Amino acid sequence: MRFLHRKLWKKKPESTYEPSKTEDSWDRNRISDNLDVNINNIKTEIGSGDLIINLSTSHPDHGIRFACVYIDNLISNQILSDYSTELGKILVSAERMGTNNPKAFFNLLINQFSSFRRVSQESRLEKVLDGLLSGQLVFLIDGHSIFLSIDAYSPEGRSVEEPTSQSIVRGPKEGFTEKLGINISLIRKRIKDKALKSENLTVGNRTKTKVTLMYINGLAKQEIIDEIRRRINAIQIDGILESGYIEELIKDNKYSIFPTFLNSEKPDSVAACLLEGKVAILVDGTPFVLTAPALFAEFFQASEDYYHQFHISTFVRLFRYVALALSMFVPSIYITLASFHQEMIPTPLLISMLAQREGVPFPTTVEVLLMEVVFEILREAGIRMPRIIGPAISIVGALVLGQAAVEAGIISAVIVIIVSITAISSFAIPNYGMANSARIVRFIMIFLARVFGLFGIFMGTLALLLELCRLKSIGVPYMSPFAPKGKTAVKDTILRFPLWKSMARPEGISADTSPRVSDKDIVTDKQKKQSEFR
Amino acid sequence: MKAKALFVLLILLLFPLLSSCSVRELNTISLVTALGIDKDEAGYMVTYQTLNAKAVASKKSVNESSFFLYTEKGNDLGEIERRTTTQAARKMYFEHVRSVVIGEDVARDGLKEILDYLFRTNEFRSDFYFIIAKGTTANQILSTVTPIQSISGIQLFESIDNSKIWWAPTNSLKTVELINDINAKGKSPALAGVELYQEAEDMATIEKLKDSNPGKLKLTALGAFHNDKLIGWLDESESLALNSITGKVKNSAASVDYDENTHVSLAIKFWKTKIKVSLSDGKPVVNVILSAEMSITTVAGDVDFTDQKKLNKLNSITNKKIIGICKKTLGKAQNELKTDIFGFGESIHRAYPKVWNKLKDDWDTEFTKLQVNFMVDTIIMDMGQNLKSIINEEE
Repeated sequence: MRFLHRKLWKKKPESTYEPSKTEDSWDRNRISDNLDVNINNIKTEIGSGDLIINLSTSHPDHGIRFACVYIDNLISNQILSDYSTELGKILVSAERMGTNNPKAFFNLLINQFSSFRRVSQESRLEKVLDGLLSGQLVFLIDGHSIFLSIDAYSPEGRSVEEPTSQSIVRGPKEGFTEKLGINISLIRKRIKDKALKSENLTVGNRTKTKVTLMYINGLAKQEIIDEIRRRINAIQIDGILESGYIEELIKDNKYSIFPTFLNSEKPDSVAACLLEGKVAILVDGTPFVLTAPALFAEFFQASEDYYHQFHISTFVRLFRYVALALSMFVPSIYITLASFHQEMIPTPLLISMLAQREGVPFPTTVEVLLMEVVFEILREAGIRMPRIIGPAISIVGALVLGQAAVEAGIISAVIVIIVSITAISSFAIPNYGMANSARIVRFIMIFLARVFGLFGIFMGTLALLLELCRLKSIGVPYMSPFAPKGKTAVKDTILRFPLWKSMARPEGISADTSPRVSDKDIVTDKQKKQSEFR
Repeated sequence: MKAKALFVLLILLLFPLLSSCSVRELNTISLVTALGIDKDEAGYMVTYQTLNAKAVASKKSVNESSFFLYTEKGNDLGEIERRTTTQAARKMYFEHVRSVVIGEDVARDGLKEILDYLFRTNEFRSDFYFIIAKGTTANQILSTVTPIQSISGIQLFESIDNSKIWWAPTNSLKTVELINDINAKGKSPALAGVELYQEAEDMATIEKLKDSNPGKLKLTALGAFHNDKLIGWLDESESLALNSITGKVKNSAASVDYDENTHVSLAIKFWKTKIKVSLSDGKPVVNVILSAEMSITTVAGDVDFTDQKKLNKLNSITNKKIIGICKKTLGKAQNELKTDIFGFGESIHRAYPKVWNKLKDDWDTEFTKLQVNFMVDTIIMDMGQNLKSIINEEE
């Protein structure tokens, strides 16, 4: 034991993240006024095959030498050709004006381009390099020590398509894309409010990924915005390739299995979150937008709930909670009933279960685990495999593992039903992340059920509730508005109150909890008494 | 942190070792559906009716009996139970016992020991019925293959549940009720009896189910107990009277003769019993107030009951008949059986505790002298789907 103790308590070296730095050099911040020197510097710094340097002069004989530098494929051909026509016009006017001075030529360029593009002047080489790598078009002019960079970032990418992870029957079918700009525009399109703010941040020392915070000023709580901004700015990492990186890095309870950020591919649901005073985190390169704070109840809401009548939405929502419970508890409850508490099963059901168990070689727990594991593998295979062999997997899954295994007497038929119920239930939870948490809980419950029986399930449930009540999302209790109790926000949790009843924005999240819908009757009693329109 | 996690993990890994002993897989148990207890020279002969799940619920047709009997003899019930392992492949599992059939001999000797065993052993639930095998042995009853629900233990349970609602004279008690009735000074239990009906040679084989009219089990009227000992049987009308006085009637049927030519049968739709105790000369008098709602199911004869006078007459005839049956039953209990199966003692206890304190030690003799008045108030609510006789003879 002492040995163990010593081994375990040995101090491990503190590891802190230090981004690997390129060798710091000379006068890298200053730019020379010699074009060749500058080009050389850029070449040595970037030195990549896709760096394009176009050298040219403003006039064949006596013009000013200049170069246009960019990185191939970050700028679309369409935009490049636009620039070349524009440049042609500039050259013509430069010649007509007889511009010979580099500074004057530079001003001419700025004048012309800044009318339709974001243009900046840079005199530090480092900035220029960063700009080049994030898709800027850089003009260098011989004899002038300031660069002109034009924002022309337009890499190839998907266009707006229907989201694949959240399908709906009624509602907008647009989904976010991998391009940050398009994603912002999709939200802007829905909220034409001057208070809708977007803040640009850059995360990732090597990827320099653009991250945009969006919120409605006045609705979002300032302390929540500040906290999210602080956390994102504090991230020190080589690269951010998806919003999941950010979610994991800035999560309140980092070991918890439950998601505390809501992700969505649908601009309408992100817009709805913004209108409730939440903050959206958009990351360049992924169609999944995070919204925070995210509460437990939100993971059971689908955007469609608000597009259908409130009766059916409430009805369906209740079933989502039931589905969560089923997907977490069904296998474990089956195990306890079948191997500890047979007295709890109604006699006729027990008789049919007994008949099915006759001649089955494995203990119940092994059976359940076997089928659950097979299902998990099947599910994973279904996601990862090439699309073309999809039907093969379903045949193997349905026939071989389901029917044949039962007929061969390896597993009992109830198990197939149990596994199917859990599988279907876990797909009925609108949020994939929450369904994944339920999967983990399911296996923990199976373990507890095998060891402690129903008592174990009870203790597990208690621990689960404690865990849920402990969690926070950007400082907001995860289980609110249930615990702590909220008066108005409850109206849009398990039940979906009609729009005219759930008037106030959710307390605790929104800075402004005044009503967002007027409760004045649009169809008044007086009108109901009027004669019919015929 | 790391050490803590490892420690927790170690403890978690130890958990699975805990459980192995208490796990009871479904294919290691033998589901006992009914218990039969008979008298034997050694003490008891216990019959365990165990389910053959393969034959009952399997999709493949298995040509086996749906249950098997295991019989063991001995002096001690717990010992007998363990001794079955020498015969049976699996451990007997008692949580789903549906009925306990007790041989008449055993019932006459007393149920105390059996009840103690069934109540004390934690594997028995308390939701099965006690039934007395009348004129036969419990073994015989349990070996019978019954139609539709081929397992007689379950068949008895279901048939008591059913006939208790639709045919009042049968009723039976579950463990806790039975123990309460035995323990109560002012009440004695009454249990349903069961007998073989259409006795045949092959009662115990499934082959007989190929016959469309096989031998069956039949619930008979109630057996009256004094404390824990069976002392006599009631007939059908007496059982109905007993159940109506104790307020256990839900639905039933009754028939009365309106006049020489007209016979009316009635369906009892609603029944309510009130027992009021009063004192006269320091002695308790029990007033039983019965009220019922009935409807006419058959009229044999042509009396037009839309006439209120005739209906009133029918009412009073019915009332008289009910009072007659009740008095007859009371007489039997007071004079012949000398046991308070109605629970009048309990009612007196509730109404006049002080009076009861004087009576309780000698209640068995006091009961035989108890004055009981019956008041019956029946209403005929409807006349069925036709008001008059469908065959009109006058025209």
